[in-house]
Amino acid sequence: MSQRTRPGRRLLHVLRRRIGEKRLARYRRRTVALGTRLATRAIRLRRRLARRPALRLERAVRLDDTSGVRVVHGTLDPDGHGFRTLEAIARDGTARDLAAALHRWPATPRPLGASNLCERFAVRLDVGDENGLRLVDRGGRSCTRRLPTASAGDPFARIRALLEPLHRVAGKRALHERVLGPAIERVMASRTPDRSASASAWNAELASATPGTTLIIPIHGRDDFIEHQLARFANDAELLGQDILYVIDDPRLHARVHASAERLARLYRVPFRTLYLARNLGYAGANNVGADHARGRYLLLLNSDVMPIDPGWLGRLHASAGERLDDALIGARLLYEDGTVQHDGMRFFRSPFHEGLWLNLHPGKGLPEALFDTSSAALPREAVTGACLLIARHRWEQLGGLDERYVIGDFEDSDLCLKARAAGMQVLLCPSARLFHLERQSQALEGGGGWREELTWYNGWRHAGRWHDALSAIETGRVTAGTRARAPDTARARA
Amino acid sequence: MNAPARVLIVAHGHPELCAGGGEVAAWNQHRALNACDDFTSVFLARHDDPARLHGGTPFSGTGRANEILFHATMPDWFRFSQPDSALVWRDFRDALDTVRPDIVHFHHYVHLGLELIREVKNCNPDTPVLLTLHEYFAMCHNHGQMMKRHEDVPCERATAMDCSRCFPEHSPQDFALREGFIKSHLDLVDRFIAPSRFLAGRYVDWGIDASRIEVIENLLPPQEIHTGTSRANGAARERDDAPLRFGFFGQINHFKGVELLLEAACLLPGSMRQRCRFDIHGSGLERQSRGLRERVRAHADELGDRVRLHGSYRPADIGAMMGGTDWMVMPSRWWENSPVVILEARRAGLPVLAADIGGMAEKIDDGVTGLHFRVNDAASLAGRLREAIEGGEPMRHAFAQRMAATGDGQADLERHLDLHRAFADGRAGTAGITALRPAA
Repeated sequence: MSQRTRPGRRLLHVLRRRIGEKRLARYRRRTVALGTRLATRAIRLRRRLARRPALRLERAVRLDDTSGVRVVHGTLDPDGHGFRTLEAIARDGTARDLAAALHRWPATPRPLGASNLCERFAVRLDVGDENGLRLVDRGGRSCTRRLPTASAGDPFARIRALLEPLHRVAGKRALHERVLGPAIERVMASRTPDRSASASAWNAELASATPGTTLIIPIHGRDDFIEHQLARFANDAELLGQDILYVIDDPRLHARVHASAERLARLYRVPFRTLYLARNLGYAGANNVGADHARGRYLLLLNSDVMPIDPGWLGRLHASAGERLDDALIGARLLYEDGTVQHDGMRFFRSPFHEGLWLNLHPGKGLPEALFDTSSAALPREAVTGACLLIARHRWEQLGGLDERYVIGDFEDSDLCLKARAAGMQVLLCPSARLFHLERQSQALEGGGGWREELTWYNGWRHAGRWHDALSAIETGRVTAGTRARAPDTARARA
Repeated sequence: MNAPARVLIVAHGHPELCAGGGEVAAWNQHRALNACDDFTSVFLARHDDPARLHGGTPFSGTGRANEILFHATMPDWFRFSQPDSALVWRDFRDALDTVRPDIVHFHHYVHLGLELIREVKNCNPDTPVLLTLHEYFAMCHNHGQMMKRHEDVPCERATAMDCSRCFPEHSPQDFALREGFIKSHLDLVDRFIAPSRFLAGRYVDWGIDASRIEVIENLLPPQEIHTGTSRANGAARERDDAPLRFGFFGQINHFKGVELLLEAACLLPGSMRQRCRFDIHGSGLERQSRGLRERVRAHADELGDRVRLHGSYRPADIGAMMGGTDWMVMPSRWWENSPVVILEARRAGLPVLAADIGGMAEKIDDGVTGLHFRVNDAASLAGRLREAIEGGEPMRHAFAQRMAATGDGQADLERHLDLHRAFADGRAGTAGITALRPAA
């Protein structure tokens, strides 16, 4: 409007006198509306003429150097014509449609200048010599981008770099199904870590020649729990006849653990061994290597932050299964320091917060122990935690131990339980074997956020994929039995 | 009955962690049931201190075998609806599955969510649900106080139209929806327990059928846990010429009216002031508005050594403190329902000067166990103080004896136990919830 300039004002003044205030206002409105319309048309026309698809790569992670599997994510904008394909371009120029390995989701907020067809995407590339991505729109126009090559660090660091930025993606399940799951699975499968280990024996003169049970206790990050455990083991005559094996899965701790073992062996007259792994193998790997070095007829997987409450627990754990001992996998009742239950068996749960993904629930967690069954016989459960778990060694070998393809300690225990069930074994919980569990914060299943939550998605996806039929059968059995999943066959005595 | 019946008491707080009248009443109920051979009780109290939280569960323990802390927050103070529904259908359900109660007795739904009541019935439609009513939250959005929000006067009746006048940000339709939603959950309650006839009457006016409400007084803790000796049975004071001691017990805030008491004391002539003393027991002054703090200070300055602000007290000490008091003053500006301090005063044989409305007027007989004054009226209170001072020891003694004769709560305890027994052995049926039963 020229209203602010002098000539404009004069003109307005004249017009106002000639045609009147009301009509003048109407004319002005119409003029402005017409101008806006014309300008909008012009902009649209210009866009239409210049319309091209756009492809922007934000991150390309090469997950390992042997398989060459890569995950790329960024934004694609087919502009006005719509999305047709995203293709991988090989060095020789051949193109391959990536539809089966692509996940797209709405770009909110939309990047500056993007059309309303703009989307975010993540895509998996399996073939090593593919070095470009091409977006093709419905009009046949395309946009090609070369893939960056470098990615450094160990596989876990790369997986973390991959997962962290994808924290808030819509449709997580599809993302893992098409893109992330197969990629990470392939990396985990192609790993061939160094499994060498060296062992030291302490108080060997006290050790039994034929120990009943090998306690496999992985140590990672913190080693002060060893002293707490030994102090309690030393007061339990039953533990003296066993084979206590600390698996030091953390090369940074080797020297320190070795030095403190010298001291602890003199203070606590318990025979125990320390097994130093050359590389960090993770929870499953550490237990598996520990089992390879075991001497007992039975294996007890034990977390270092699980502390016996009173003597006799190991005997009760064995006795509770009775005849079934060699055909069962037996867990213990674990308690928090405030007297509430941390673990009394696990239950499979189709989580509505994870798009129906199967997760493991701990029924009764946080409730006072006095409310739970007391029984010297073991009770059936859907699964039990690996924090304290007894199994015959020949059974363990038959099942192949823990699956090492889950990432960083999650679901390996329920996977073992499902393997055992498939092999016709029973999964039991012994309520009279009671131990404290400090439950490290790193074990957060839900919440905790960031890449741990993403890992739960990956591990849960793998777990559910392997065991979908078995899990569905358990759920069906639960419904038809019409009883509670936990302790379905025990009538609770009203105390 | 062979095995003891299991009762689950659900409370909005644990009195050891967050003291309040309702929480204390719930805990006392829990302990009284456990002391009786016919019952075992489990106390589930809401709590929100993350320091006590374990990973992956909203539950933790207090160290006692039959107490559960339930970490929940409920920011919806309009509908009392729990926004995190998994807390209800997954976690609270898990607690129900574990406790397997024969009776669930709610002491509140605030901080927890009304949906918990429904979940009990979802879990087992035959489990009786009792609900003790503590304030007027269901009908009044103004902190459940039944006070007009802006005029600061007691409100007679909650209607959608009137409530919307107090809270213009919510339309009358909002209030109608609110009432319907709340009632849809309260309809599942098998029996309400109101600690006063007055409170019961309000809920009857609001639409709860009178046959569904029992009037039973809240329970006091067992006497032996009190420290010191209370002056039971209205024993006489040692010296008749000592100044008469008026005591105030409770939170210091606007609703409790401590300012009114000090104002009335200032209205007493100087000669009379010398014959009495005012002991204010309770904390919270520092959290009040600046105006209230300044007025309380100004009155206290004027009264000089006649008034003492003692600050907070441990609940266990109240018997001893009442022993050192001659008259209790209860100057609340709101209705109250059944103040715990009046129950304590009964046990201590302490006569009460109380405002003439609601639960206070009901629990204190004017001219028998205490004196009434007009609510919110300092001059009326001053007149009553004067009567008490002039009446001196003979008058106090007569009132105290009648007060002590009103009972120590044993009869109330029996009635509570009888009610729970009736539900435990099925004499009192669970009615009106056929909708939740699966079709045969």
